[in-house]
Amino acid sequence: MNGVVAGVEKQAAVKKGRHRKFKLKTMLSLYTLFAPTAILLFIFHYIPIYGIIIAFKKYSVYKGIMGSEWVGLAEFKYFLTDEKFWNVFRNTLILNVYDILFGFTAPIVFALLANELYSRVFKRVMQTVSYLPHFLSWIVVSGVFYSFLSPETGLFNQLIEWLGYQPVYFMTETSLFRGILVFADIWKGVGWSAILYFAVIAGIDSSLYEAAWIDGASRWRQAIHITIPHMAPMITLLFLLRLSSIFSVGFDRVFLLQNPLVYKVSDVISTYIYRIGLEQSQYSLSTAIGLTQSILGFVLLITANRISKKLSGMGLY
Amino acid sequence: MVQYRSFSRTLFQIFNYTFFLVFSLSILVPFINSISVSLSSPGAITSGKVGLWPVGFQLNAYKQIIGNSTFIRSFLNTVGLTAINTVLSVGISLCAAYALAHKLFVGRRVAFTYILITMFFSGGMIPTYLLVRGLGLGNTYWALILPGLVSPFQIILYKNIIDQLPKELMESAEMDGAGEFSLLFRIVLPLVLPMTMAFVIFSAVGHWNTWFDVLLYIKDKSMWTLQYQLREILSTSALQADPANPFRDLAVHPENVKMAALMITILPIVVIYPFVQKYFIHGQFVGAVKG
Repeated sequence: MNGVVAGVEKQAAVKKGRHRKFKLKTMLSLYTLFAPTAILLFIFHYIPIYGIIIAFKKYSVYKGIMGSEWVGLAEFKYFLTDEKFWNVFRNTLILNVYDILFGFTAPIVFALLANELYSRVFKRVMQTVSYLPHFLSWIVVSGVFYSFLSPETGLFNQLIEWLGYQPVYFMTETSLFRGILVFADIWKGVGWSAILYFAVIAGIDSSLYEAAWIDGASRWRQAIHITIPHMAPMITLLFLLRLSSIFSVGFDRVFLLQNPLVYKVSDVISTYIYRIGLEQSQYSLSTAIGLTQSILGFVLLITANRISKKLSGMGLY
Repeated sequence: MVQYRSFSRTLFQIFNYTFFLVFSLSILVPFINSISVSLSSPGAITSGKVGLWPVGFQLNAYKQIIGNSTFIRSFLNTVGLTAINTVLSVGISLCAAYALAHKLFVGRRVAFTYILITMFFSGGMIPTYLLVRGLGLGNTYWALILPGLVSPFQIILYKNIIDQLPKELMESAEMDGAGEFSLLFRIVLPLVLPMTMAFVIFSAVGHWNTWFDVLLYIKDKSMWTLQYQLREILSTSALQADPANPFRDLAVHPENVKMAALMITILPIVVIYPFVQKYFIHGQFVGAVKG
């Protein structure tokens, strides 16, 4: 009997030992699998975060980050009193307000209207076409816009002339340029952005519509009382997220569509950071502006997430 | 769905179909016009006769571009970089996510936070630029590969889906003596294949469209990517001012070359688009914000 117990204990001990060995091997494999991510993130994300301190220094290429002298908030004071910065800041806000008024609402209207299309074939073809520009680069889109709207050879201006009007210099006209930036963004992304709303609409219980129909509600009333209320949480969430990026505008769109003739209305913080940072090599100033922009964005994101959780119970995290 | 028949309903339907028809055409017409311009004679372009159909059909612009070694080189660069970047970045994401999802990975929480932080904080353009130059990666292909290789977003989505896989499958494979690597590639990878497809396609499209890194780091023309080359071709001033420019041929109009280059750049995306559309949509959903 004793022998049997001893045997079992011995077996258990052997098993435990093997298990520990197995665990060590597993751990090593797991750390190996995680190592590339850890190393790459450390080098290309964490070291640049440390590099932000050049915003508080007078960075000199020769002295390096450590050797450059501290100047405290001098760079921040400089841009906060700079008329050029405030012009760029104003442009960023104005463009964002337009983007929210038109660009944010466009996919909602798009999804609601597309929901009323009965022909499934038409709907599918239309959707396929509408997603396409999302996958093309802003370089391609800007090329198409410049070509299509060209005053000499562009098809759109040929149409305008054929109708008996003077050709319009779309891309160089300051009064039109913000409109073009907003339009280009909608043109490129409305179909794609609408997918989330399509998904919400597809998830609505169809018996709700049938009941409404029996009660004599028109399609219009059904949209107002059933579809839109169901979309409200998603709209709220996306709206709050959108608000959190009100101090930033996607770099590519503005950088690639603008030209020197429209800088006054088109230049935004991100293109300004690029110009003073990389074209004029004012590294510290550029980093200071970028840091301010990220902090404002981060504060807005946290606030937006908190409000969203309170209102709709949905949040980013 | 219940159908309605009333005057206002019919009127609305007419409006609605017209609206979407015009919208779809607003996307298609500029592209069709671009193709036509790329295939038309210089005279027809100058006099503004080209609409939806080429006038004075010719392939000179395409011949010039395909005969241009810089352009071909940028095309090959893009194909290569897209392939390398896509395989490496999706592979790294999967490996990291597998480790993070494993119960025996000591320090999982710390590692997860380590990744999460990079989604909210970054050094910004200048510190990253100075680092890449400082490491001596300027004007090398490494500058176009290494900095963007880790995608925290992909890792988190992958981790979530691996967490949900049935544990029994892996346990039984472990019993059979499978190590972590064979578990990952033989058991987990086939199970997360649909999501992997979505990531691969998104990643590939993203890398195909890369140009900003080239603007920042690459001086050497032989290392340009296709999009950057296209940007150079699209800026008219460069075309006309540079007397050494190979595209300064009188047989083609600058617009000819621009639109031909644009068509070659988007061709791969347009060709694969119908076949992978379902993955695009799938990717949009896995990427969607969850409640």
